[in-house]
Order: sequence, then C-alpha cells, then structure tokens
Amino acid sequence: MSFTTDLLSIIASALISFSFLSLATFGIVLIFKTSSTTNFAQGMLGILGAYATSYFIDKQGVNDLTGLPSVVISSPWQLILPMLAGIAISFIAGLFIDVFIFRNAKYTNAGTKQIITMGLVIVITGLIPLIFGSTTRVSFAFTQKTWMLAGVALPVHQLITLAISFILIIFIFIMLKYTKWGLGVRSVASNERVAGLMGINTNVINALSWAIAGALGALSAMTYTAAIGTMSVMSMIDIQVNAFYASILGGFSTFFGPLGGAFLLTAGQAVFPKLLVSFNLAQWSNTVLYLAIIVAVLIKPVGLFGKKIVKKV
Amino acid sequence: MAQNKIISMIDMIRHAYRVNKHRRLTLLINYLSGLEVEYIRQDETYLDTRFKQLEAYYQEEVEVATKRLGGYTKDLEKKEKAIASYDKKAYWQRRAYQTKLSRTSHGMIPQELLNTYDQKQAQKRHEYLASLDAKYPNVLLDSNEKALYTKHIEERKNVLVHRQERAQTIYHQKHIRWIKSIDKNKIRILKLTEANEKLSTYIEDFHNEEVKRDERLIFNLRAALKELEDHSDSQKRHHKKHQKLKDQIDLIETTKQVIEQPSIHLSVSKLKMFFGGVKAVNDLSFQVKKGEIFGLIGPNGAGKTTVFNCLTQFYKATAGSMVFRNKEGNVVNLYQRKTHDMIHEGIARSFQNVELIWELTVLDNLLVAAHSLLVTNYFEHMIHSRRMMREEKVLRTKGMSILKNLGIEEYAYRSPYGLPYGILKKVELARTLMTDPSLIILDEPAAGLNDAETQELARIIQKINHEYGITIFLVEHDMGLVMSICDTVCAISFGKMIGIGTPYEIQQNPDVRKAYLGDDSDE
Amino acid sequence: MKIWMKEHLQPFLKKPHFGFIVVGLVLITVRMLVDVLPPDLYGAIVTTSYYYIAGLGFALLLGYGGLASLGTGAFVGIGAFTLHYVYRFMTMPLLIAILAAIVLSIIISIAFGFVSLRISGMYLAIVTMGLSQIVIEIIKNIPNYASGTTGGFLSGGPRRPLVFLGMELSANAAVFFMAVFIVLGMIVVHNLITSATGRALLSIKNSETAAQTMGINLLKYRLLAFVISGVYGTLAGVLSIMYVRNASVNQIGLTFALNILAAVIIGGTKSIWGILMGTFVIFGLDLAIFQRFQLGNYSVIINGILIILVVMFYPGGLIQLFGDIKKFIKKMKAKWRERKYGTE
Repeated sequence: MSFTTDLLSIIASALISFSFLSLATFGIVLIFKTSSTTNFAQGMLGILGAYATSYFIDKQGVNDLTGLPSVVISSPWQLILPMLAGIAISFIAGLFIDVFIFRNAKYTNAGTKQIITMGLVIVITGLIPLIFGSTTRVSFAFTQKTWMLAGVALPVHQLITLAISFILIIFIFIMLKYTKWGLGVRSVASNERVAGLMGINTNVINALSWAIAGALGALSAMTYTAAIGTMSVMSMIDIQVNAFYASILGGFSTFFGPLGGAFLLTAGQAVFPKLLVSFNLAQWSNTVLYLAIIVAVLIKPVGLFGKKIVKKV
Repeated sequence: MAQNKIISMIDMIRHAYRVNKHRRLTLLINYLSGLEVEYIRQDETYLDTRFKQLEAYYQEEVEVATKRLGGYTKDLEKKEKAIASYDKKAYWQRRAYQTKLSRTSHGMIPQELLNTYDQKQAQKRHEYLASLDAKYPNVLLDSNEKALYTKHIEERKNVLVHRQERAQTIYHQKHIRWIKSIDKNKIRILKLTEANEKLSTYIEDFHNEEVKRDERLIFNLRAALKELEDHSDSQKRHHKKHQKLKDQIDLIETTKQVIEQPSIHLSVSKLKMFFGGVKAVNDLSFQVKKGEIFGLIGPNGAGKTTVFNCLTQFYKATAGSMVFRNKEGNVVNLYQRKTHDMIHEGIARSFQNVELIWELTVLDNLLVAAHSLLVTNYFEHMIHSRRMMREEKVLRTKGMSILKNLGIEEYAYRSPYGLPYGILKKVELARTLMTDPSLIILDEPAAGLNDAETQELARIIQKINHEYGITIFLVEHDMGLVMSICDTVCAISFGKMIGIGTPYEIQQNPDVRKAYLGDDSDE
Repeated sequence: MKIWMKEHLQPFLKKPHFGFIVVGLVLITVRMLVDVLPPDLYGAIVTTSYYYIAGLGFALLLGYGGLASLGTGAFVGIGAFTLHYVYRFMTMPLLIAILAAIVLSIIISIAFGFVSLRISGMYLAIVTMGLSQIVIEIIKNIPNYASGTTGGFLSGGPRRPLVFLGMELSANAAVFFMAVFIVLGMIVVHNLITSATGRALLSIKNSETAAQTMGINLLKYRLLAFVISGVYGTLAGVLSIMYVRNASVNQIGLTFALNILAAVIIGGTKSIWGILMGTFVIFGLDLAIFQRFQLGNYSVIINGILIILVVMFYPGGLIQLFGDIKKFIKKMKAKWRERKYGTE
C-alpha cells in the first residue's frame, strides 16, 4: 500500500461520506437560517421519505411463492419513480410541519422551537412503525458495481450520490445568490420581521424552506441507507448527529460554513482510524473525533467560519 | 526582572484576596450586629408575647363557661344561631327573588310584588321565631351546672398559672442562652473587627507601597520619555512606545491627583475606545466630584453609552485611565477590574433597555440585586439554615422600604412583565439602591418617559442624591432633566469633549450649540 | 399537649416539606404492597420514581439555569456503570462504590459546565448531546463491557450480591433507598429554588448582563447547576442498578434524554410537583398501561405530540393546567352566583 493509494483512499472515503452528510447538513442550515431553529427532526423527515420509497419499490412486485415483496429491478424507472415519490412525501411533510406548527410558534424563543423539533423526532419515531409496519427494511442502491481507480475501490452508487449532491448544492447556491427566491430566503434569514414589512411573503419562504429541507433529507436518507444496506428508524440518527456536529464546527451563521464543517468531519472520520490503528486504538476513533470537534468549538464558539454577533447593551 | 514580576504577581493576588476577605468580614460584622439587636429584642419581648399567647389560650378555653355563667345559656345561643342562619338564608332568597323579578320585567322591579313578598316573609319569620321559643325554653342554670362551670374555670385558671410558671422557667433558660449568645457574638464581632482592621492596614500599606512605587516609576518613565523625544528622527518608529509611556505616566498622574483630592470620586483621563477604525471615544477627560450629579450629554452617536460601558468594564477601553475612589476609600484603577467586580467597588448601573428579570417578582428582583451583600453560601441555601432565613427577612425589609421610598410598593409582588415603562424605570433605580452603592450610573433614564414622568424622575434622582449621599452619573438626551438637576454637565460629540461646566455655562457654550443645532453661520 | 400541636404541628403540615415526606411514605407503602400489586404496576411505579430524581436534576438545569442539556442519560449511565464496575470488578464496599460514582459525576459535570460557558443556548443542546455520546462510547469501550460489536451492557463475571452494613439487599430493599433519596432530593431542590441561589440562577437565565452587574459570578452558578443535575442523574443511575440489577447503554442514549425532557416540560419546568406529574405521565403511563396493551408506539407518538402542544400553547405544563382549571371553576362559580343573586 503506497502512500498515494492511502491518501487517495482517504480522500475517496471522505468524499463518499461527505456526499450523504452534505445533503443533511444543508437541510439543517436552511431551516436554521429561516426559522432560527436547530432542527433535530431533520433525519427523521428524511427517513420518512426513505421508508416511503422502499414501500413503493416493494409494492411493485410480490413474490408468488413466498408472499414477500420481491422486486427485480429491470428498469431504472422502477427506482426513480419511487424515489421521487419518497422525496415528495418528505417535501409535503416538511411543508405540513411549517404550516401547522411553526407558523403558529413564530414568536416563541429559539429554545422552545428546538424543543418542538425534539418532539417531532419522537412523534415520527412512533409514526413510522405504525404506518409502514416492520421497522427494518431493505434498501436499494443505484447499482452494486464498483470502479477501481488507481487501486482504490469506489462504489458507483456512492459516486452517483456524490454527483447528485454536488449538482444539487451548486444549484441551490446559485438559486440563493441569483434568484429572487434566494434573495427572499436570505432576507428572511437575516431579519424576518423586516423582510415581511418589505413585502416578502415570509409564509411562503418559510414553508418552502422546510419543504426543501425535507426533500434534501429524504434524498440523504435514501442514499445513505442504500449504502449501508439496511434501513431502520435509528439509521439516520448517526447522520443527523454528524450533521449537527458539522454545523457547529463550521458555524451556523453562514450558508457554506456547515458544509465546510461537514467536509472536515468526514475527513476526520477517514483519517483518524488510519492514524489510530497503528496504536491498536481504532475503536476510539469516533470518540477522538468528537472530542476534537468539541475542542475546536470551545476555541472558536461561533464555528470555524462563523461570525460573532455583539449585543448592544 | 522575572523574579520581581513573580513577586509582584503574588503580591497582587494576596492583595486581591485581602480586599475580598475584608469585604466579606464587613458584611459578616454587619450581619452579626444585626443579630445582636435581634437577640436583645427577642429577649425583651419573649415573656410578654408568651404571656399574651397563654392569656389568649385561657380566654378561648373558658369562653363557653364564662358565657354560660353570664346568663348566655345553651338554648339562648342555639336560638341566636338559628335566627342568624335563617336571616342569612332569607336575605339570599330575597336577592334571588329580586333578580328573578328584575329579569322577567326587563330591569324594572315592580315594587308591589316585592312588598307582598316582604310581608309574607316577615310573617314567616314571626312564625319561625315563635317556634324557636317553643323549642328552646330558656331554662336557667341550676346550681349543679353552675358549680360544674365554675370548677371548669378554676381548673383552666390553674392550668394557666402552671403554664405561666413553666413559661417563666423556660424564659430563664432561654435568657441565659441568649445572654451567652450575645456575649459570644460580641466577642466574635470584636475578633472580626480586629482582623478587619489588620486587613485594612495591610490594604492601606499596599496602596501606600503602590504610591511610592509609582513615584519611582514616574521618574524613570519621564526620563525614558525625554530620551525618546530627544531622538526626534526615530519618533515615527517608536510612536507606539512613545504613546505607551505617555499612557503609563498619565495613569500615575491621574491616580495621584485623585488620592490627593478627596473630593474627587471618579477621574477619567484621555479615554479612548476604538472599534477597529471607528473612534467611538477619542481622548475624553473629566472628573466627577463626590456627592454631585454629573451629566453627560451629546447628540446621538456621540459615544455616551460607550463611555458607560468602558467605565463598567463591559468593553475594555483601548487606552486611557479610569481611576475611582471605592467604597472603602481606596483609589483603584477600574481597568484592572472585571464586570462583576464593579458592584463590590461601589458602582451600580441601570440599563438603557430595561434588563429586569421577568420570571421573578419586583421584590425578588431587588433581592437578586443584593446578591453582593449575601453572607450565606449555596450550601446553606440547600438546607435553609436559620442564618439564611434571617438574612432573607432582613433583605426583604430593606427591599420593601426602598420600594416604599420610591412610591412603588404596590407592585412588590407582581412580575415586572407588562408594568408601565415609568414603573419599570423606577424598579431599575430601586435595584441599584439595594446594593448600597457610592456611585450610580444611569443610562438615559428618561428615555420613553413623558413630561410628567420625567419630572417625577428628576425629583426622585435628587431625593436619592440628598438622602443617601450617592454620586450620580447621568447620560441623557432630555435637556430639561439634565439642566434642572445636574451640578456639572459635560458635552461630547463624535467621541470628543466639547465643553464641561455648570448647566448655565454649557448652555452658553458656542461649540455645544453648534454640535446640537448645526452650523448656524447666519446667526 | 393541644397547644404543642397547634403551635408546632400545624405550621409544619402547611409547609411544602410535609408534602415531600408524604411522597416518600407513599413509596414505602407501595413497597409494602409488593405482593398485592400487579408486577407491571409495581415495576412502573418504582422505575418512574428513580427517573423522577433524574428529572428533578434536569429541571433545575433547564427551568432555573436555562441550559438545555441533553446529557442526563450520560450521568445515569455513569452512576449505573461506575457503581457496577467499582463494586464487582474492583470489589469495593457498596458505599465506596456509590461515592466513587458521585465523585466521577461531579468531575464530569464540571467539565460540562465549563463547556457551557463558551457555548450558549441552542448550541448547548447539540454539544451536550455530543458529550454524552462520548461518555457512552467510553463506556462501550471499557474492556469489561465491550463484548464484540455490541458493547456496554452488564454481563458475565461472578455475581456479587449487594451488601450494605452487613445486610444483604434485595431488589425491593432498594425502594427504601429510593424513598429516602426522593424526599431528600425534593427538599434540597425546593430549598434551592426558594433561596437566593435560585434567584441568582433565574437572573442568569433571563439576562446575563444584568446578573453580572449585580455581582453574580456566571461560572460559579453554571457549575453549581450542572453539578447538582449531574449528581441527581447519577443517583438515579445508582438506584436503577440497585433495583433492576441490569443496565445497557441503549437505555441511556438520546431517547432517554428526550424522554426526560418531555417529562419535565409536560409537567411544568419549574415546579417540583409538576415534574412528578410529568414523569408519571411520560414514563409511568408508558410502562404501566401502554406496554401492557402492546401500544408501545402510540405512547411514543403521544409523548411527542404532548411536548409540541405544551411548548407551544401551554408553557407552564400540567401544573399550569391544574391552576387554570381551579381558576376557571372559581370564575364559573362567581358567574353563577351573579346570575342567581344579582349584583349588590
């Protein structure tokens, strides 16, 4: 194993994990900037969509002999349509949450909104088994092939995910910067009341932000569970927690900060095990990573890319 | 050199520790003196209150017997009770009937119906009274019963005497204990006062040492400065060092000035606060005398609140000296203090945006302000020791008296949420008073008040100044308020001072007028 | 005799401390009825009781410190696992094990407290979540508790019965301890919140600048809040081990912290009785009723919905609900009186 293959494999695995994380992190940032809450339910929204997708995929075929769902993927449309359906469901769920809950809770303080999202986590955790039955399902990847590049194994599924996330993020960035909608989102993010006074329809902007965050979460959940093979209610918790750490590390005050944080986190996840395996401490790599993040946040509480707001006394 | 630095650091830490201990001991001594008064009061009033209590118990116990013997028989009592309850029921029935009538006839009560009703009721009552008389014949007591009652009264009287005797013995024991506690207390106060005085001498010595050290230092600094100035060509390179030397010299000179003139309470010299490129305060100097009301005025953005925040160490000033004569009479450099030390030095402030605690009542808000005067620590709070309960009572009385003084005691048990703005401002003022400060800084106290409220505020500020002798430092926009109550006014604009003097002088100052009214070249 | 009753007993009955002692007595009565009550109910009551202790500590942190910390689970774990480790694997006497757990929790809560100084409000929840994850990871990786891929539950090794002061303790004997700790815990929290410390905490929660101006040292009080909350959580963990004789890291993760959060908020964040009600609603109902009827998921959903409703429309929680019901009844009575008797 030469040094370059090591480095390449580190970068590759970092990029791969980054693909899932970036979608989830971006959803969190979007909601934070528009509703001023840290959305604990981001992962749950995503899993809701992922379950829906899996459900729709299964509905397409039932094995005559065993009566269990058994689908043969013969055309890509069999995957894409359910995926779109799943994304739509999370989109609508996000919309619902904003319209019915957060619109009425607009003037509560940030801590309260946080607690509302925690409640949502609990609700969705309970709803999913009720709606979809058994709690673990099998997820479907885009393809099971892998490419070999310079001696490093790159699963094609992850690459496709990476490509999709890249495109999406760049698309959203462009929208934020150059469209009227993007301007609306940024003004609501800066000061909701004044934005409303200036004629921006804050209700629509907020609702759309939640909906988009839901969709992003669904995409993230689907691709992630496909990569790890199984799907359960708990599977997004890891990504969710990591998305939060990434956001804190990068700083909530900018749109791209959390993405930078996400990249650093995934890099750490790739690098630390390699460093520690020589000391036979590989199982502590997660702990060390989290500790490192907390130390970094202690040193710069507003995040590595964040800005400090001074209160006028 | 390094050794000197370490030694001086140890000295400073020791000094800080001593100052803290001195303050704590003062609080403790005050608490113990209050305790002594409390003990004496309890000693003097115990027996009286106890006897009164026992007397009350006795009266209660013999109430029935005395009533009976006095001719108020059981029958009579029952009859009276029955009549009273009947009357009460009749009253409420009548009101219900009246309401029903008024509702059916749209508010107009037909007098005739009511009269008929009353007549019927009167007759019923008459019949009822007669029935009662039949049911309860008034049988007077016979001699047996009389004897029983009298014996009962005798017994209770004996019990009373017995209890009184016991109370006497208990009192004697308690008296001895109280005397012992008072003596122990006195001894403790003496010891603490001794320790306190020793600490005072140490603190004074430290300050004297500082003064002496400053004398030597200023001599060296002046020499270094002169040397630097002589090399005029390299002035640009050593500009920073030049400035630093000048700042150090200025600090020492200001301190010396404050020490030598006991009438100066606060002296600010060449204060600078730069936020990056923005010079919020630029080279501001003024002096506040003890016991006066000092006003700082200036147009919006002149830097008034920044001066405040620099004084109270919310911001650390970029440069300049702020020297203050604290509650114990020592002269301290405010820059070396932290925000939460200000209250111990004797500076209290109010906020431009009212910062009260919404989750507490008004009185509790005041109690929080007295936090720096607490003698108990969190462990005693966990177990609600007697010391804590006493302290709480003392603080509550103090809080209520301050509220009464300002005229807002009716709001004492309400949450500040939703109270009128003028009242909130008064509560903020009361809060500063709770801490027994020597200097109160008010940040735009009249903001948001109408004329009447502003006049009231002026009256209260003057009252505080005269009654408590507290120096007041005022930042204000309202010219009426400033000119009417301030002894000295300082006007600043864009961070620089444009005038200082009595209100009249400031009003005549052309620079001040220009800053406020603009450049009127045609006047 | 009668005077003594009037002078000393009656004022005592009026004090809130008397209510706390009643709670302890009720718990002891439940213990006595262990053979009579159905085992689910008994287990539910006991489990809820020691969760209540953790909830009390958390309420001090949330309601009076304003610090949304999701680390409660970590401290329960510290209590449970430290007690077990020190007692069985290091074979120390029981009291030493309990003391070790408490000392460890004090150290770690001081660490939490220092972290809280740099990070405020919303972010604190996330960071404490991370810190408690770290604690759980550490527990999982301790050699005695790491068995293959699923680390962190008690198993293996020679069993060692609990011995206290020479007496062997059964699981049910732990209930006595629970009663004692609950009463003490309630008294201490009540004393704290009605004292100057409670006021200082509230002032820090409402306005840090004002608190600093009044001389309140932010660090000291934050640390105090965290330490007390941590110790309470550890006590809950210790008691849970003494009763359940089992522990697993899955029980003390994020879900547990969220449930405690739900219990405290639904009951009423600042009231001791409210938290008791909330804990029973969240944990007790779940264990006693829902599990019995296989409605486990419904209870989870209801908990979540309750949190959202309470937080949005009824921030005072169940306690406020009771107060409002009382006020409503009084108002209705006054209205009825006016209708019947008219105004004077």
